This record gives sequence, structure tokens and C-alpha cells, in this order.
Amino acid sequence: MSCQRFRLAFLTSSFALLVFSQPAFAQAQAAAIQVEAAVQAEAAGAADEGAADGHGEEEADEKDEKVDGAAKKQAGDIGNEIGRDMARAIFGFGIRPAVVAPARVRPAVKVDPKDVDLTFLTPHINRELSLIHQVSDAKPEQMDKMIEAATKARDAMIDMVGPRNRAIPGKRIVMYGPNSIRLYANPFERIRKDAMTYAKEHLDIDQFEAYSKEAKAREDAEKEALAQTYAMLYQRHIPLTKEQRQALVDNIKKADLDADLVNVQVYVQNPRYLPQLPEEVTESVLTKTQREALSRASRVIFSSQMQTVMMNYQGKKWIAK
Amino acid sequence: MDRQMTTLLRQGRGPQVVVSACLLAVGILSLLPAPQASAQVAVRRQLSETQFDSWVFQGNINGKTADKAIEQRLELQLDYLNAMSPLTDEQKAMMRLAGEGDIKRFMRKVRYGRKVLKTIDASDNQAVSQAYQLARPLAQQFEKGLFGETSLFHKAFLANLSEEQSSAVQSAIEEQERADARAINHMLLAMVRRDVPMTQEQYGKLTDLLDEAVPRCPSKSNYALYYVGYFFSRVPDKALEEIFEGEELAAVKKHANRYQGYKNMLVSQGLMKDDE
Repeated sequence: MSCQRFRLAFLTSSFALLVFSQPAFAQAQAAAIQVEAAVQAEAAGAADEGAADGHGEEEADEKDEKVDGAAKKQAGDIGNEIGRDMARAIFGFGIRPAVVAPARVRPAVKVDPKDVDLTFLTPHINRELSLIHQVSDAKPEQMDKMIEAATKARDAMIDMVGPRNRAIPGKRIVMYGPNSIRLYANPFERIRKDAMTYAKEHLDIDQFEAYSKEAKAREDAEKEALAQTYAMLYQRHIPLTKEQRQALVDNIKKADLDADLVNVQVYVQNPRYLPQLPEEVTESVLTKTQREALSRASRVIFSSQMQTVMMNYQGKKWIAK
Repeated sequence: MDRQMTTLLRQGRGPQVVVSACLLAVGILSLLPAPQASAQVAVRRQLSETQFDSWVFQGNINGKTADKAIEQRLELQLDYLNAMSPLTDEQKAMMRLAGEGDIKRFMRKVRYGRKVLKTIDASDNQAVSQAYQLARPLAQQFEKGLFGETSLFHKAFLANLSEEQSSAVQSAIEEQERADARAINHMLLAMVRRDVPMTQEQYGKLTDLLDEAVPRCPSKSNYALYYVGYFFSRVPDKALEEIFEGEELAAVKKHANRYQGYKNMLVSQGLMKDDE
């Protein structure tokens, strides 16, 4: 009899345990789902970040691989603790610390040129042709030859699009065209470089000199604007004396930075983040304390969108399409 | 007993068995001291104070390194003032003391936030959101710097510096603000130049116009670009017509006009007055 009672008590208490542990199981399951979601969000963040510095394609496929500690701390821990949705509600999307996992070089996937429409570059090329025309007073037959050369140069820019999965050395900016087309070089620089080549070929010496002088002045003005803006962004984080600021501007202008106006304006609108500068640019200018203070700032590499350049100019369409 | 249950289950009376067992379990368990409370405590998920720190400090600073980071900022601020106008040891000591007061005041609020965060349930989104509201102003304050115009440091600075020192610092700050404005002005116009073909002479005249229209700007604000853009939109057409013509003029005007609608936003952000 006592054995039967024991069995009854055992069965009922087991059942009760099952009933009462149900919410705990559900909670544990929900927590597991949240953790998984956080890990996914974290991996997505790492992929976003990767995309921003040129390693995204490789990293996006490696979300289960280890991600950077800082990114994990900022995105993962928060996600683990309060859940992905809540973390996203509070922190928004898309911005992660710039720490780069080493890129895995995979077999390159060649892009079929027929699949890529490069006509989005045409308005930019037309503007360059307009500048050449404006400053060199080129004759119609000279323009015709340059239009032909410019069209060929545009089509050759397919090499900036493919092949995919190509590792980009170092921490480099990736620029995106329409439909998230990835360009592995700065298209503005390329268009100008090509223009310089065909202008030299088809203009006479004086005409070419007039154009190259203007092109150089524009490049210098852009460099100046970029350097001044970088210095301003650094001044937001650490107090710089007038002399330090000027020295920083001078060093930035001398350095071959992988930066562009399109890219730097994103930082102006996100004061919390700081673009990276090579040590050789800052080392001789900043004190040890300043460098230490800067090491705590969130340095990120934002990717750039070509569409950021507003296209209001409706000048002559030298290349029709 | 087991054999009986197996037989009952085989006879398709399983649900009845489960219901009976439920009732039995409820009966037994009602005699036990409330187990739900302990079960709930077991599944309650707490947020750590490092969570609050990450909201406030962002970046690579955490609660452990925050004190040092803020103290370092104080020293940098003192170095900066000293470089603009040499300070005596006494002045430095006074200002350091005032700055430390600002740090203490700020960290007291951070500690309070951490404490609040530890008391809430992580699965309660509303409570988490409320805790975040505590962190937000602190994060903004930290980002802008603890030694601004409302700080003890600033008051000590005003009270302890000679007129000559104050004016040297003031003119250095104004110069920096002008440099900031020029940086943003030129960046905005260099972007316009990406779209509109123009000569260096035209660009130079355009930058002169904007530098005159925006001598200073709130460079620390994330709306600084819109601020400059708004003043670009107010540059008179006549002034632009003296530099450009035809398609170029039309395009430059379009670039300027796209910032016209930002006034309300700038006013709401406190960056300009409604009647400005």
C-alpha cells in the first residue's frame, strides 16, 4: 500500500513538475531564440561592416564564424540581453564598429559584362566632357573623337564591377552604384583619369593644358575640403590647437587616403563616429594623451553611394546613353 | 496501478487520465507553499550595468574605463586652454577642481541609471525602454563633452581667467568655428561641383559667397550640413547669376533650393531661431 502511495505521489509530482516547468521551458526557448536572433543580427552587423570595408561578400557567408570582439560587445551582448528587436529599436540598423575580420579569398566569380548596365556612369562622363568643352573650347571634330574614346572607356569600367568575391587589400571603401552594384574603385577618379588620357590624345597642347590645369585645381580643392573636414571631425573628439589642426590638414593632404567627399559627408552627419587616419598622419601631430583619447572613439569605415551626388545638371548629353 | 493506467490508455481513455492527474496534481500542489513565485524568480532575466554603460559611453569606453577617459578629457581641455593662453598653476588647480565636480555629478547620474537597470526585467520591453530614456540624455551629454557652457568647469574658467586670457581663448574658439564652417561649406560645394561643371574661378567665387553667408556653424551637430545648406539656399539668385549661366546656373540653384525646407527642423533642433 505504501509503495502504491509512493508511486502515486511520484507520478503526480512529476506531472506537476511538467506543468509548472512549462513557462520556464517556454522562457528558456524564447531566450534561446533571442540569443540565436542576436547572433544572426550580430553576423548581419558584421556583414554590414564587412560590406563597408570591402570584405562583406566573404563575411556575409561566414556569419557563424567568429566576429570581432568589439562588434560582438556592442551588438551581440545587447542582443543577447534584450533581444534583437529591442536592440534594433534602440540602436537602429546598419552601423557597427569598424573592425575587420580577415577576408577569406574565395575563387573569384566572373561577372558577365552583358549582365551589368554601366549607363549609370554616362551622366558623370558627360559632365567631364562638358568641362573639357568649356575650358578648352574644343572643336566639334575633337569632341566627336573624345566622345568615342569616352564611350569605350566607360565600357572598360566593367573591370571595376567584377569579378565578385575578389578580396580587397586593406581597409578600403567600397562605392556602390545603383541596384547596389559594387565598384571596387572610385568611379569619379577613374572617369577623370580616363578623361585626362583621351583629352591628351585629341586636344592640342594649349587646349590640354587649359583642361589639365582646371582638373588639377579641382583635385586640389577637393583634397583641401576633404582634409579640412577630416580635421574638423577630429576636433570634435579632441581639442586641437590651431597649429595642430593645420599640421593635420597638411599631413592629410600629403597622404594618399582612401577617402572621398561622398564618403566623408556621412561622418559629418554622424558625429559619434570618426574616420580612420593612418598613424603616419596623426603621429607627428597629436600628443600621446590625444592619441589615447582617440583610441576610444568609434572609428568606422562607411561605404559610399554614388547616388549621393545629386544630379541636377541637365547639360549636353555628349554620350546619348 | 501502472498496469491499470496502461490498460486505460489502450482503451483510448488517455485524456481522462490526464485530466484526473491534473486535478490530483492541483490538489496536492495547492497544499504546498506557492511554487509559482520561485519559478518566476528563476526565469527572470536581469540586465547588467555594463548594458547601461554601453548606452551612455558607446564606442570603446565601458564603465571600467569611463572614469579614466573622462579625466583624460579634462586634462586635454586644460592643455588646450593652456596652449591658447598660458594658465597659472593656481588657475589650472581651480579649473581641475571644477572639472572634477562636473565628472562626479555626471557619474552620480550614471550610477543611478545602472542601479535602476539592475532592478528591471529584461523581457519587459517597456521597462527597458524607460531605462534607455535615462541613458539617452547622459549619452548626449557625454558626446558633447562635460565641460560645456553649463558646467562648473566653464564657470571656473570665466571666473578665474584674466580679461586678456579670456579674449585670447575666445578669439581662438571663434577662429576654430570659422575653420569648421569653411570645412563644411567647401565640402558641400565640392559635392555640387561633382554635378555641375565649373571652373576653379567659378568655384572660388561660389565658396566666397557661402563663406560670407555662413561665417560659423554648429559643427558638432549632426545637422551641420543642413545648416550650411539652408544658408546656401538663401544666397540671392542675383549673386549666383553673376557667376553662372544657362544649365550650370539652373543646376546650382536646384542644389541650393533643396535645402530650403530644412528650416523647421533646424529650429526644432535649436540650431537657429524661427525669425532668423
